[in-house]
Amino acid sequence: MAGLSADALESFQDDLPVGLVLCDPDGLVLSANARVADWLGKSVSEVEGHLHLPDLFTVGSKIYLETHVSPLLRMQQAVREVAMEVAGPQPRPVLLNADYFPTAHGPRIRLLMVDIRERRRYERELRRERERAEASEAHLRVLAEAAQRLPRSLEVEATAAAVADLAVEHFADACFVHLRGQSGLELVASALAPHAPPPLDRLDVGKLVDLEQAVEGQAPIVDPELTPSRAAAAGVADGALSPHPWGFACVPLPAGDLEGCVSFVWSGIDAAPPGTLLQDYAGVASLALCNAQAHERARAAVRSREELMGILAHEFGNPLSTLRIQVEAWRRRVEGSPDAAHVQRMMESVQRQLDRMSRIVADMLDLSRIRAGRLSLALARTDVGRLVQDVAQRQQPQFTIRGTTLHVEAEDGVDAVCDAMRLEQALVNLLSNAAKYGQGRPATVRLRADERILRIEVADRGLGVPPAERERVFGRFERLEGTSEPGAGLGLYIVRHLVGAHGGRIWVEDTPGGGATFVVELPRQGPDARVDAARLT
Amino acid sequence: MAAATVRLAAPTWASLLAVGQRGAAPLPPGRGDQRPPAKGTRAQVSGGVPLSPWPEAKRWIPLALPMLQATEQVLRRNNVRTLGRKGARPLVFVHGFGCDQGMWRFVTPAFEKDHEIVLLDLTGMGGSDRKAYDKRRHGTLQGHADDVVEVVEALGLKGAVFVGHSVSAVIGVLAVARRRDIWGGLVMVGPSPRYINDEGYFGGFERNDIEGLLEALENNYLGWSAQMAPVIMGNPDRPELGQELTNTFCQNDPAIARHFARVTFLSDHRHDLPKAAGVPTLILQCSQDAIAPEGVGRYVHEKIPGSEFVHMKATGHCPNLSHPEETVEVIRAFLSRLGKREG
Repeated sequence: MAGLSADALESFQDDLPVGLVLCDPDGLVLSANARVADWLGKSVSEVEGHLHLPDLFTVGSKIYLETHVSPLLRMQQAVREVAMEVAGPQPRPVLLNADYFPTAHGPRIRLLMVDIRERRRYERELRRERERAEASEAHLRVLAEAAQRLPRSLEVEATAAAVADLAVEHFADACFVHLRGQSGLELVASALAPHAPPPLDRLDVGKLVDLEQAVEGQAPIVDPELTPSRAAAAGVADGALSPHPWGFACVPLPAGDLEGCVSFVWSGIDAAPPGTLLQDYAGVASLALCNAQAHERARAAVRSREELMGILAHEFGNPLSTLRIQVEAWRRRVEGSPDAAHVQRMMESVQRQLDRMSRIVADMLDLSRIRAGRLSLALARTDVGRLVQDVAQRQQPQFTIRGTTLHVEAEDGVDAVCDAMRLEQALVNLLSNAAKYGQGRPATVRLRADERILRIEVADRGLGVPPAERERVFGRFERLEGTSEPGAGLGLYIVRHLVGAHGGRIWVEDTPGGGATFVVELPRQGPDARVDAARLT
Repeated sequence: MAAATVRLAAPTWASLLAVGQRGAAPLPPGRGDQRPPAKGTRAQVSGGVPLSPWPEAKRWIPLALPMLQATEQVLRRNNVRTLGRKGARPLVFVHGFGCDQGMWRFVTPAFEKDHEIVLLDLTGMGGSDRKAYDKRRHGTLQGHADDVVEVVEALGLKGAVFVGHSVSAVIGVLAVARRRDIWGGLVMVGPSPRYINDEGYFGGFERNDIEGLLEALENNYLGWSAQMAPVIMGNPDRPELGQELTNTFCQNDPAIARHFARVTFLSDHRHDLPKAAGVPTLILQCSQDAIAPEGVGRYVHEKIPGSEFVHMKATGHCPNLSHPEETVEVIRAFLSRLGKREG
């Protein structure tokens, strides 16, 4: 440098706030300024000719040097602004610039290092913030998906399975869900990640930790290093879990209606899911499980009510039949006696009531059969034209007593594969509705057919069914407005199921000029040929 | 039941066929067509009546397509490049922590004449498909070993020699243990089965040191995460070299690098070493290797029965870069011994 003697130049270099080093190609330090020696806590003579390039740095930086910097230096002949840390009493963050430098004695490596302590402090702060933000974002994504997916099933077991599945999809290698059952905490669901070793499925979590303690104590039990021997004690053969490391956590469901815990197993470096994620996940899982349980209970209640109804209907049926026969016998007996007319009237009234009760009991029996899926059909080719005529004729009195008539438009010989008794039951039901709701006006039953489909229409001229009600009338215990006639509201529900069992459809529409028309369509070849796709034209 | 399965499958095949024909490019004859068409099965289940409306000759296409796609996917995932003489003994070069297949550029030319050379980037590194990096699959070195095995399977190689540097030396052991039948040998350059000291074992590092490495990684990625280039600049005298290298070498995703660093330096595969026994194994140990000290190399040699140990004159951790001639010479001698033993 012009204007400086060799001594002055050296002192100038020593005073610079930067480290200067010169190495041979094998990394032996040939020359270093006082600043570097000062950072290292050594004298210049202890450094020069003694230390190698890697010795200048802390262990972490040394690894980085060997794995990243040296290869690059070798390949590119130069590196710039690499963040490193110089070893010494106080490790010193520096930015390193280095390159190969030709000299008369062959190539040399020269290093220039700038102290960046202040900048590093700031960067560290920045990094911590970023990590926090990233972690909580990932965490929220999992929880959002859990909140969306877990409540999809309304059964406890299926929900528990979803809890396990979702966990292995996102952050665990295996997940086990235990819920309080009759014999304590029982394993309800488990899931295994596709890459996890299959023996892990056999892990007996109860042998790994005291599940009761976790649930009672409402505190997670975490084992960040699940050793092979502990896993072996819990049913996973020694060696099945290598390579290391494995971790485990058992997180209780938050106290509530449902007692239990979710256990997670993970493997691999850095794989431990954050504790807050596990606890929040257990919280979301608990919510979904409690919901499913409440729903299951409600359904069980409905089911037992229906079962009870079936039993009652069955139990009522026999005494009712006996009573009807007895009443008929008494009526015969009093014929010809002085009080005959009076007793006859009383007996007829009793018989009518008995008939009604019998019908209701029969409906209830049908209902319970439908609900239990036990409704069966005796299929045979039947002349439906004749059947419609016969039924219409038998139902005529219902219309006569209301001062009106039932028109029949049906021809003999229109046949279909069906259960004649059940079809008659449906028809009787529709016709008595037409009588009840017909406002004393005439009604029509009409049979039409093409080669495939058979259609029966029962049209009355009553108040009709408003569009909004047209689905509801086929529900259980639903009744139409416009009549004071008694009934349990089961008729149309049963009719729809009878028609459905035949592979047919039923709906209600307006009768031109007012009133309701119930339309039944049946496939003529029996239930296998459904009419969903095709309608009579 | 079986007939129903075939009937259900038909629309899927149809759509695949459509995909196959849209490109109008005939599938190259290759390993894909070795799979027999499911003709026999079809005739059996449907009583000899073909259910498929497509001409007989084209039926294999939908079956082979997914397989070809899978093969392509594997090769793309690990940015696989093949050089050298097809049909000659394959050498599969696998780079270590920190870099990519560029690590081998001074070594591979020496083998191109008489070997088939396979270069790849570990999943997540270099030019590999970073989306394929799965923190759980790659949460242990086994995940990477399985990747390499899949590459060798996809290429249909037999008798390949796994040349692994640094952490990939151990990945080689795991790959050999996974499918012994496809490997003809293993070359371990600067191996270490465990970097952290343990009772009765000197790996060279303490657990805290690894935190220091992560710190160094982190510091070098902060603010310029996706671009190592501004930091590591090219040789001013040979700008073309610098340009090329900065674009391809050592550009790793910071999150993956950090994770892979932990997987590499916190793993312990000492108990896996004996699994390489029976496959001819060469261990290359450098002098003054700051990452894998000599004691560790000797430990590996001791634990793999029948392995050969060569103490190189080369210094440092990357003899493939710093002393390529010696590295080539030692590997070549091993390969020729291998050839003699087999021949």
